[in-house]
Amino acid sequence: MIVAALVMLALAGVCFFGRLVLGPRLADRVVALDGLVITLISAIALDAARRDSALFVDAVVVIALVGFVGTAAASRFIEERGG
Amino acid sequence: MTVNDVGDVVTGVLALVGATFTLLAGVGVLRFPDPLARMHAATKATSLGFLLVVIGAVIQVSRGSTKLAFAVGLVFLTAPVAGHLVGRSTYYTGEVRMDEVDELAAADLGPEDDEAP
Amino acid sequence: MPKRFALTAWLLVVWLALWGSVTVANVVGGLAVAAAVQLLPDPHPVRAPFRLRPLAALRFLAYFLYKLVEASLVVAREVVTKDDRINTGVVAVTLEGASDSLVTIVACAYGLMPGASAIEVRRDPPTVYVHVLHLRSVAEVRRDIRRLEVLAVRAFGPPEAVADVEREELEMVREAP
Repeated sequence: MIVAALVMLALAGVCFFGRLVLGPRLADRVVALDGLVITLISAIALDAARRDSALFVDAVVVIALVGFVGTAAASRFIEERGG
Repeated sequence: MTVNDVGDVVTGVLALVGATFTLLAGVGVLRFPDPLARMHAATKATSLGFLLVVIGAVIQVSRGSTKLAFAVGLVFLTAPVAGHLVGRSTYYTGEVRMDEVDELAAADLGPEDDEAP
Repeated sequence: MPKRFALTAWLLVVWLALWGSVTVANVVGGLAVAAAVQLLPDPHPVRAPFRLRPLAALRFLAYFLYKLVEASLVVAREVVTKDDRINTGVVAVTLEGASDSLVTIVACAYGLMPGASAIEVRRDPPTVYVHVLHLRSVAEVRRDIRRLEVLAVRAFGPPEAVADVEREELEMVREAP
């Protein structure tokens, strides 16, 4: 079942990636990247559960944090430059 | 059925439901016509999906569950803020769908006076 | 001083959660980092008093999670069904006499409510401009936020604000027999 969930997360990633490519506005791409980040950390958490290894759990925390800082910085940028 | 089996099933169900929400959010982001609607889809359903997936994972892992719990706290603190920031920049920099009232436009505030005093 | 202590303890908990284990070295390192962080100047000092009532905070959290599930189901329904129920609008909601920290909590929590997100916040008077995906009535949005605010005040607000909230509720009960 975990593998099925991972496949669904991969499909979700494809959807977010599609929006990332399509745009049309910068804000859409930021939203898509935000979605990709959370999909990725969900997948890492699931993988940790599947293999019972805490190897990549640190990455979950780090990517969550960096993803947020990136989103915040990108929004600031959009507001100053226009999207 | 042992305790471990029950844990496996609970993890599997939580993982599937969480992944479903994330997938629906992805489809929503791809399908919704309006940028702000896409933002709504991306912030809410993915947060819940992540929460469910992590609860499932915490049941299963023998180490690192505090870090996962910490990550959930982080995501839940940052997701609405990220949604707010993206929504704000979307609203100010282009056309968004506005069906009914827009009391922010009526208040007539510029976007550029948020600097700290 | 107790506030200092609480902050140090909290920073230590975060540090230990990040390391994932409690060892002497981790505790000593965490205390050192907590002390160093508190020596740095605070770029955005929060003037408002902030406290935590565990039971009320749990109620706030429970309501929040319930609403988050509802929000996700709303998104799911919107994705799955073909017809379009979206009816957007931006509503201005004034939170009378709310402190900065309370406005932050309410605005952030509202960001995960069904089809809603704060897109702008202003001080003087504290006003939140929320974007609503499925707008039925402006009064309904105001009522939802008011409900959230009452829960937040009970969980995190100063005693005077809690007294205000309770007096108001008493009046409402009296008015509607």
